Amino acid sequence: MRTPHAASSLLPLIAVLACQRGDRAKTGNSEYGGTMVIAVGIDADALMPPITVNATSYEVDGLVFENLAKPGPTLDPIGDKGWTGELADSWQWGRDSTTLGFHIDSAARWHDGVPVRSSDVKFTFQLYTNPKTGSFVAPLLANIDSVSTPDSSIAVFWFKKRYPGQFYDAAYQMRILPKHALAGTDPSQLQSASFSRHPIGSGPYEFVNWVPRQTIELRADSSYHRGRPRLERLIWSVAPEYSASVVRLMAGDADFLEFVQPPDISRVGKTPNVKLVPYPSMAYGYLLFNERDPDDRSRPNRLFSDRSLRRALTMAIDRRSVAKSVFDSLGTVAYGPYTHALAYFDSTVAELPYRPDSARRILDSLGWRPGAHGMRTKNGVPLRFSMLVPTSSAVRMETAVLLQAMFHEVGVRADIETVDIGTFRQRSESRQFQTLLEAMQSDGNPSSILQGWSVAAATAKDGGNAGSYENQQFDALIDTAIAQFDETRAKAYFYRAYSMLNEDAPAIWLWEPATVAAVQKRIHPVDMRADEWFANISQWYIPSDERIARDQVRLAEAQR
Amino acid sequence: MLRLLLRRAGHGVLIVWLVATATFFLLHLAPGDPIAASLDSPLTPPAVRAHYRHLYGLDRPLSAQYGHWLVMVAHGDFGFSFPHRRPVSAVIGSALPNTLLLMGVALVLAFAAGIALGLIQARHRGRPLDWGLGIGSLFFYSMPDFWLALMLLFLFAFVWRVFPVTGIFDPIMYPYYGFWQRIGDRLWHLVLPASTLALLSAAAIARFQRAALLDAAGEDFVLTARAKGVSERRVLLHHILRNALLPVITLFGLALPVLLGGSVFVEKIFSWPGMGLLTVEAIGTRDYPLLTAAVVIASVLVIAGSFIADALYAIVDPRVRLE
Repeated sequence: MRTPHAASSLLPLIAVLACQRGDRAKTGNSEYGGTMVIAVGIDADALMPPITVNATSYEVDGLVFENLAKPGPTLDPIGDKGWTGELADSWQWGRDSTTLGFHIDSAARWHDGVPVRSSDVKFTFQLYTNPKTGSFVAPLLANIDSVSTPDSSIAVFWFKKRYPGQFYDAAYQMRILPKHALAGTDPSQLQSASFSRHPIGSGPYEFVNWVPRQTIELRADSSYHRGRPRLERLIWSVAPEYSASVVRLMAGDADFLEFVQPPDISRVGKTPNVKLVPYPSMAYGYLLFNERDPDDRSRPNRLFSDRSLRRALTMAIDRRSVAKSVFDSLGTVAYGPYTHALAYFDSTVAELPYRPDSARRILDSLGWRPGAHGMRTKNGVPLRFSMLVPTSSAVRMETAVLLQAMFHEVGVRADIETVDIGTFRQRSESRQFQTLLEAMQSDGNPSSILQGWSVAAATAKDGGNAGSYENQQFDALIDTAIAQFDETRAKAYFYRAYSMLNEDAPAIWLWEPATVAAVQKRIHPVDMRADEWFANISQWYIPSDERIARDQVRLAEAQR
Repeated sequence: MLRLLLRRAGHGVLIVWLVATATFFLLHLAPGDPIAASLDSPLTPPAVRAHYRHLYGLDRPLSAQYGHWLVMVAHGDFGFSFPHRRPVSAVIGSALPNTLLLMGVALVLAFAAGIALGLIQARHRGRPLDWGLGIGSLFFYSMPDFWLALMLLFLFAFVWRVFPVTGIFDPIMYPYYGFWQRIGDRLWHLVLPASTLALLSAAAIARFQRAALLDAAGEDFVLTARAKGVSERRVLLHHILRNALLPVITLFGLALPVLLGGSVFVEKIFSWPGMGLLTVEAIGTRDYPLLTAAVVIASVLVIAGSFIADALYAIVDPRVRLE
């Protein structure tokens, strides 16, 4: 319950916000119109931001709905430096920094014409955090106590504590939803609600049509409050067969392919009308050790609970060679559970070197002696384990073969166990594996590292720390780092935490792929971000002298 | 006749129930579930998966899930597809017309071409034309469907750019077309996938038809007809062909489930959103309700196809009586 003092502390905040109005930058370029066809491999599942993790849904949602604000290109999660307003045109911190008020742009409208109000923000927060909704974002909002609406244009976030990621959580974790369209919907039935297939948002593009397993069409909202997007139509065209998507792009039937697989890059790059656009990635891959017995989580793993053994195995792997073999020049070695694209990336952290001789010596000292055919045993038990790999990932299958050969070089037998992705995820979740080859998409907020590596996440029944790595000191360092408002101090704590993680070797950090998109040359300027490739799509355009037949569709209406 | 229909229907219901029950238990005993397969991102908290398992009753005992499923199916409700976030009936309802169109056109083309080729070969038995068509049909008969599909796609959609690459309509222009333009656009997109399927099936049908025609041509009644002075054309079409159609009718009966089952590879390569691809995707995502519904539909069609083949046999061959 809020105290009168807390409520009164809002008054200056509201007064300031009420006086501020956004001076939006309207684009002065007249190059409006054109159609961009985006080739994707999977259809959307539901266009309902709180519950979808599907990549196509996420992309479409990102253009139909809006966040309150968006981070700058450095994805800096501390405070609000470099952020730009989206649905909000201004914001103001409360005096004690546990409140943050957003002023909603008065020009913002839902695509059905209803003005966007602060009550929509409050409703969205309640929907995301309602346990019946089952949103994967809800745990990331745990530090927000509530949202209040002192007037129709101001939404105030009340935090449980002061921390550097407050702004990130309030402004960027949720896509704001229309209360008037969803208020009567049972949160547990969001996935089957008609809204999920005919969404009404406030973003630069409005929903037009969705033919299941075929196309999703959006059109530019000509009255978008931040200025009309320059491309008139966006069409996601589904082709489950990747090679068909490549042919479509090369034949000119599609304009954009988000990810070109390494073997196709040369061929696609030679296509006259197509350009390749490399962009930073948020993905990284690693081999995770299970430090608990897969058959009985209360017992330590007979192999991987031993820190020295994990370190020896890590030193047996030439990670740079693995990254080079799998991705050629498009891959770099991973340094930890984060990527180059993040603000807190640090390539100077302590990492275990590739030293197979040292690995052999450590294994010898641990009692794992070479036996028949050079394979190591201890008390008659071979040093042998399985690597769980999903069949859906050719990259991970290839990686597993390389790892197997490198382990073999030091007398360790690693068996590759391939399973479909559903089984892989279930066994990861139930921790029924020895090691598994995981590929993770990192989150911009560095505090999310605790979801995968903290003691709490290891011990909780439904925790996300599948390898059961437990180190209270690591947790404390991350907690301290994410509590720092000073960037230099925060980086210093992250450095110590990441170095400690590497010394403990709970996983072998393998690779971080660069991603390459392919786009028709008539589309300009195509600047892509690691967290959302489509973040700047409102500014992409097709010059009138480069337009082709499909760009003329709706052009007359676009020019009005 | 009515007793026969009732008896066959009774057998059919029993077979469908057995197949569906076996499918239900085999699917549930396999590792993984639709929630883990759909929410496969490692960033998804396990608690969220647990929430959906509870919501869809996947955390209940298998016997309870089976009982609930039986009651639902008895009421004509195949449940909710979690990966598609839609009722199973709606998912199948959007895929089935696409498969019917593709497979229907492909089957008609295949049987028409197969029977015609068989006739030509039989009529020119031992001559270069028979020899050439035989090699050609063997070539297509032994060709993997996905390879032929890729080759047609490469040649006609990429090199010569005569036909569209994928899909069932033009994603850009279709909404702005008039009625006849839409029909034309659909047919245009149908050419490559339907041709792929028809070429493969026609080759097999032609070989069957040729062999059956040659068998029938050696029968005494053909000799009698010729001795009576019946024209060669009439002998071929009325005496030989009618008898030689029996094995092809069997093929047709067997093809009926395929008509609705679709072709996985061709649908995938041409991004044709039909039942074949849908079913394979459902296996990958452990979509229990969708898979069991697909199996029930396939079982019904196999039984119906078998019955239709028997009925056609009786019509074509007076020696066969349904009773």
